[in-house]
Amino acid sequence: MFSVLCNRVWYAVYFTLLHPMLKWLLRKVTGKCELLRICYGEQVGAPRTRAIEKSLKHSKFQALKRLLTDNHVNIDQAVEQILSIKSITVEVHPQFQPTIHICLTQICGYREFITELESVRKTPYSSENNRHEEMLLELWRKLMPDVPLQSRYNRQWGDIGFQGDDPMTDFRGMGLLGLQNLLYFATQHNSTARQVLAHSHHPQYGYSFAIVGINLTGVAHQLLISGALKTHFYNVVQGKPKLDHFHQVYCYLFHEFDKFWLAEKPHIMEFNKVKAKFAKRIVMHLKDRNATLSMKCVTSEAK
Amino acid sequence: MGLLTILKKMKQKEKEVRLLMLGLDNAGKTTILKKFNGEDINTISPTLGFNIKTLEHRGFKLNIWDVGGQKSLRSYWRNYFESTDGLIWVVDSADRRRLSDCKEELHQLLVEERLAGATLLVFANKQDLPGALPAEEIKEALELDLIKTHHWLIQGCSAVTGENLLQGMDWIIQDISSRIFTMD
Repeated sequence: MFSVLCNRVWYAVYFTLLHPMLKWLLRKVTGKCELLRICYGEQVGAPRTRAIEKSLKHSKFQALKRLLTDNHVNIDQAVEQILSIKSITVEVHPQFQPTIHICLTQICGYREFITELESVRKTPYSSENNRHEEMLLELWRKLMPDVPLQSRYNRQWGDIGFQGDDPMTDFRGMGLLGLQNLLYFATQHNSTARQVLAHSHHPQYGYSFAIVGINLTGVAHQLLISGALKTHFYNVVQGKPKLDHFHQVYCYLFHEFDKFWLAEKPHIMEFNKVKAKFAKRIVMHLKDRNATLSMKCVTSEAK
Repeated sequence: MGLLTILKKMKQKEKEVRLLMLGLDNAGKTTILKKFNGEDINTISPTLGFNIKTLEHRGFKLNIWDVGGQKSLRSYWRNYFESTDGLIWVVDSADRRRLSDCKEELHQLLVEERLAGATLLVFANKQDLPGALPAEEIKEALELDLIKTHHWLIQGCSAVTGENLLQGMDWIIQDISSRIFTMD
């Protein structure tokens, strides 16, 4: 209790008093504002963009703070605003403008991407929607190319790890995103996906492929919402992330989870414990600002 | 407040109740658990394995076990029977196709020796859906009137809106406590 209080007091003192003093001192000594120093000093990608984000968060200018919360930020205008507030001369620092432009696009893009992704997730799977149905059947064909599906409502769905004879009810809170994730994995990394599916049929350490997949959509979604995925996206995507970037993270997670599961050799009833342990491991990995979540070994397949 | 009252209150604090929540897949077990606990219910995935939540309610410490309902997991339900005070059987009232499945699974549980003393609450869930059968019809379909071995109640509810969850929980806790804790 006491240490929590101490921590809070220290935080308050640091950010209201010490940090501004330090920034002022550094500005006088180096002749550059914090944003400029970050652009010069921090390595491109997550180290730089996250430092810029932190600097904006603790800025004394409300206009700069608002860049982290406003919807539909006009990046060009925002850059102009920073140049004028910080009195930065473009001729003296020619690299600043394009650099801060990329950082802001990444920062605002991440936030906008969450809204986009949420609309896919909140779209429930509907068996009355032909497009949804076609995607579901395509998933079967990609995973089981040699076995035709006898009928739409069929216990065969259990072979790819759905719970009953109608996968519709399994997508739940992950909605269409759950299906899109699975289909992307089965399409873009077909042999890996089928290898993982084969692992899931292990008599002793098997698991339900599709259900685990939908749970992993949940893990990826949580990583995105919590901001943990910023590290990866800032390192990999120069602008605003797109759905495919998220699908790629998903493929990485599924592939890694499969390896993790086989190494742990748990009982199926321990799934939630293993999932939590796996998610924690990913979060730890993303704390390293140079980290990415990319399927290196199988990228050749995507061609 | 007298010393006795304080002692009584402290005693109540220790009252632990173990509730086991079962039912077919997609019945809404996890949603009920999360809604009852005041958590977000919009990002739920199918339960593989189980969830456990410990929460305080009306002076009782409830340990609620929510075990996945898919067919391949049902053989593991027995691993969770031990010391169960109350069984909550959750039904998707809109899933008419699987009602007979649902009846069979429930009646199989009721002959289990380790569940012999447990109070049974049947949640006729998803009453908010247009196609949902009312609790009375679920009672008929599941042949609840045949049950003579357990105290039971059927409660129509909606995990999404939260309607009647509290009523059901209050009843099962009241029934359990009148059986178990009256000796104090």
